[in-house]
Amino acid sequence: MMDAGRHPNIDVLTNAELIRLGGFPGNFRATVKKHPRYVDESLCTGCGLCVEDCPVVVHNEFEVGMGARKAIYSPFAQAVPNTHIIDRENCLNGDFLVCTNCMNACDRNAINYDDPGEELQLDVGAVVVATGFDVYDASAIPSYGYGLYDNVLTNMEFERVLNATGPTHGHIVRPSDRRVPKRIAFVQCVGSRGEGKEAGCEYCSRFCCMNAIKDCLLVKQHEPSIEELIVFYIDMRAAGKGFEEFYQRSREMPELRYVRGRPAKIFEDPASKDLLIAVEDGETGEVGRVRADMVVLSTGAVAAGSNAGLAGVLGIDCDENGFFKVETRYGSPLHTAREGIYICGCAAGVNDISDSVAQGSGAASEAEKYVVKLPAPEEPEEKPIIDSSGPPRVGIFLCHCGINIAGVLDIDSLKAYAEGLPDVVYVENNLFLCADDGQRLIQEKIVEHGLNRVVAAACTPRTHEPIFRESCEQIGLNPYLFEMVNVRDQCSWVHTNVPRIATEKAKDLIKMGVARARILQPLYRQSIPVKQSVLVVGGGVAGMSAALNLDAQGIKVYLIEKKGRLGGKLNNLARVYPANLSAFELSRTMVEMVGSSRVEAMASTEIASITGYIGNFDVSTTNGNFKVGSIVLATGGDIYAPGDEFEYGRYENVITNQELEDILYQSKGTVEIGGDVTGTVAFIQCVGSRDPGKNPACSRFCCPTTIKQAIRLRESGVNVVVLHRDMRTVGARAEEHYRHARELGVRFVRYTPERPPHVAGDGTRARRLEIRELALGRTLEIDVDHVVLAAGMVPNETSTARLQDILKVPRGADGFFMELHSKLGPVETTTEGVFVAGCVSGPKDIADSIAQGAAAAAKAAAIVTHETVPIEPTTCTVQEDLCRACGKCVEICDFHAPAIVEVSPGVHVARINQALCKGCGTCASWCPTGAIVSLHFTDEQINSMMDALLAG
Amino acid sequence: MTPKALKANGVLVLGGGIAGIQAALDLASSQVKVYLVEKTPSLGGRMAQLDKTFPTMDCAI
Amino acid sequence: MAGKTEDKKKRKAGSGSTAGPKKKPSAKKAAAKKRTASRKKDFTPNIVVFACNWCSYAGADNAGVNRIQYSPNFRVIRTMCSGRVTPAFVLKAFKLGADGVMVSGCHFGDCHYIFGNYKAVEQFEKTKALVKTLGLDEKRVALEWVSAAEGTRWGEVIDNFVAQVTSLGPSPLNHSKKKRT
Repeated sequence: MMDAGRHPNIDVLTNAELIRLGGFPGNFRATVKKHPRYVDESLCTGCGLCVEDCPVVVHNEFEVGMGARKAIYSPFAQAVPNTHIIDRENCLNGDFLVCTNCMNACDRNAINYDDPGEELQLDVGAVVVATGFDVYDASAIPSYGYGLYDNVLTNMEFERVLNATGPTHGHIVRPSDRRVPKRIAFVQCVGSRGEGKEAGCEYCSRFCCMNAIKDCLLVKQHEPSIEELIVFYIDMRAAGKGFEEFYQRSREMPELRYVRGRPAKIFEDPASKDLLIAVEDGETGEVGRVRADMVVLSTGAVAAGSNAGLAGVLGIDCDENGFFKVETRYGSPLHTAREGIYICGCAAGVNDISDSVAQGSGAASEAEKYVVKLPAPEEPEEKPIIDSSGPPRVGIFLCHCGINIAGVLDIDSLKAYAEGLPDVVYVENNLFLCADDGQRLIQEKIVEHGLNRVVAAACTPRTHEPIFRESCEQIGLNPYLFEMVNVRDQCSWVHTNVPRIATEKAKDLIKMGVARARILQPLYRQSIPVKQSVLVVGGGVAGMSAALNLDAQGIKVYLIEKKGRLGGKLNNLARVYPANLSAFELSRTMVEMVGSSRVEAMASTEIASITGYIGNFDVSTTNGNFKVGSIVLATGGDIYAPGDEFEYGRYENVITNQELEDILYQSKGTVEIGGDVTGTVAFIQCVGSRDPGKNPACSRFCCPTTIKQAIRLRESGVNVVVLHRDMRTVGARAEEHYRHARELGVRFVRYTPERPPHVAGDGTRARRLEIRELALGRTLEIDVDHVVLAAGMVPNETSTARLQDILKVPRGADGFFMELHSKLGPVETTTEGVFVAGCVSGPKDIADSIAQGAAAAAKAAAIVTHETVPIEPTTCTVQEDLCRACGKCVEICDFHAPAIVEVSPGVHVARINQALCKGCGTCASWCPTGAIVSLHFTDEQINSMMDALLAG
Repeated sequence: MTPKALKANGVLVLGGGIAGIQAALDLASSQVKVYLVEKTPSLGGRMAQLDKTFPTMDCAI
Repeated sequence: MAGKTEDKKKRKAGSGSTAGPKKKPSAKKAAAKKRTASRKKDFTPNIVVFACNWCSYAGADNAGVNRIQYSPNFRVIRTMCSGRVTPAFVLKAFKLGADGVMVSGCHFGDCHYIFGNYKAVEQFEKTKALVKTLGLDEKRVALEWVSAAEGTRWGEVIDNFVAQVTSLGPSPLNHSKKKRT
């Protein structure tokens, strides 16, 4: 978030909306209305003085109505931009009242009550729609009493209760009496999976199940004394990478109870304000009332109310649920009917975070086709370099941060103290150092006093160090000679009531900072040249999607496929849901597009070796050698091959859904399996998935696949029974198809792993399925003609292991490649310049794989559109004369940066590849001879701080 | 494909939540000018309201 | 990042921290209270805290953003990763007279460098053994995990550690017996 606010190529226009869009793809003219903020963004430093003086207190919408804010406010603590805003509806500065408190309080004259706002005309090549969702209004279901009963909250409100920055500071209390609840009930599917309009939306909101599980674990963390947590659910949809494992872990919590059933009504006990939940247990059939101190309604997502208006402006359509309509022709979830307008996140339907992130990257990649890229940023002109080799001359700058620091710490005393520290030649204090004039002051004083080390005692280096470093660099001082001391976030703000002690602490911190600054060494950012081409490994949908996107951006692509032809799993499918496309047509379209592009596609080709690092990979294949700047791995997964589960292999009419797909692919009209016109087909879900012994993960796509096949069979007159554990129909339209299947008469019967179905037969054929039904207390017998096993997905062991070996991309416990971050980095890996897309990192459906392909393309393109890639100089290096090549660093580094090399015959030392090193310094701490130096965090620098503090 | 001369050099991203921010950052790092338009006064979207995200329990901001 | 609407409320709410000095509005009174306290205990520990840049240091910043009030009796040294902290740093701190040393990193699974915090655990085991060899109580060292969002937890962790070290009294290696406020 902060990165977006700071990126030179991004203009952040908040409090703004698109009101007109003209032109055509590649050349749109957008009119954006920026509503007035009444606070000048260029002047406001976010100090908050105005807030203290504002007399108006209103509900805070960020806290979902639970907290309070003033009429002038910052939306939340880490807001970007960090500019306050006046809520003019509640502001007392108007025609009749003339409160000017905030204007008087502002030291920087940033307040303008007559701010008219502005209208901007922007020329853009493409538009990315990422407008998100609205939260379902739970008060629309009167039987749950939201809005009537104090202790019924929504999940969004509960998130704020749990949050340390929220209205209760992370203390879980119930609203009616501020008591810590002992029993909390979660009600799932509120406003989702409804039957009929009054019960909300028909679709599944996808994220609420995992959200409830997470909240339960957090409650236990916050309040270990919690007695009971109950989750009322229909199907537990833990369908995503690592989700099922997370769900199973939660089941080990003794306080947590899962009850299958949708509560009919919630009553309030008026005396205690406790809640009584009337519910039928779906497994035992018992009807009862459950008492809880607090109820959390897992409200789902609905289309943003602004969609209809925006759709009009954009010239695209909304679907019947009010989400933007996706053009499914290409199997991709990113396209709209209008070229040049792409969609991602929850704007076109509900997605979880990692899919939203992948789609965001994917939409970026699609949009890049329609724009001319900016010229490479100009090399900053050569500056006179300030020599830092002589004795240190330290300048200290003390920031008041309005009253945030100066209101607590005694600045005069700090200043006097700082002047007495060794090598300090200049001390200055300033109201707002981070503002432009503060930065200019530092630059002037560097020149005026010949400073070669600068210390700022201000806020946190995590947000502000880059700003100060840039100012130092502009004037010719090496940015790594700057040191920041945090006397605000970690001093004045947290020891507010003990100002004298806080001031003493600030003195120590400054003393430590000066000690470190005195021995800081200049470091120089290096850059490595980049090969302007990309290798895509794997010619399935994800790989083809990545290759086509890169090609459309004018980037040279090598696409290699092990098999004889492109298409991957698409070649084994009949139809592709949700759009009901012909898999053959989709595959043919994509393969043809690859064929007519400049992509260098090589079938029947395998990788022999890859060496090098980001920007410079040397690739050797069975079909020639080439060099690339980045790599996309899209080698997919394998469909699980059942052993003898459910008599597979014993009876010829027990088949997998993959085998059924082949039959469906070949049949036109009526479906014949093995020559028979089939009477009854039974599906068994979760074969080789959600099985702690074999594969604990949920494979996610098997439920929608079964629904797709069940509908196809039912439509040709076949009786269909589906035996399942939870129907996990997540993904676009999957829930609607599930409903459709039920309407068509497909029967769904639940089984549990403790009571699995039994396949009985004679000779070579299965005849009967037996399953124990708990609710009815009897064994159900179903005569079947065919049994279809919904087999999940497993990693492609040979290719994944091989790529792991070659590229050092780590694999998770499930055997799939591990993403850099399961939420925020779904296509990145720990190996810089290497990206993953599709099923290589876990089971995914076609649409998600295509989106990930596009996302990986965006990431790979970001590297190769630059001539060089910069490397941070705060890495580790080896003092080779001290190194005895023991190999400890090689063993310890997860990024494979150090390697033992032979520098002269028989002489070995460790060397650290600066392009791979992340600068964590762990190897330096493990090096037995002290040969490794962690630059900018050297032993001497850290020791100097301790010396100053304790011995000084 | 549109001829190069007709292309503008910016992309409009509507929405400053997690998807929009991601799109903007990826575009920007590929040297594309981005206008990130957000209806409310701050970027962040729904993510900013969450406490932690599962399964890694990272903080949401 | 300033400007909470509820600054004053929050300060009030945050003042219930366990071991921090009692909160008084004026500096004078706080100092007076302090003097009383030091007559009683006559000991304010020197504590060094190593905090990793990505989680714990950020968590400490988060405590600030939320105006959590906690004990000031510690000084933070920022490192990029908790895995950077060698036993030698901790021993040096004790040699120079520290009464307690804490290392704080990311929760497992959150490490910016994937497994740096696991390595910090290994290093810390060595540290603990060495500290014991020196004849110091192992309660003088601590390894904690605080995420970037856990400002409240940061405050609690610090308060608890300060209380723990205070109850142990000055380190036997703290020959200077130098008082710091």
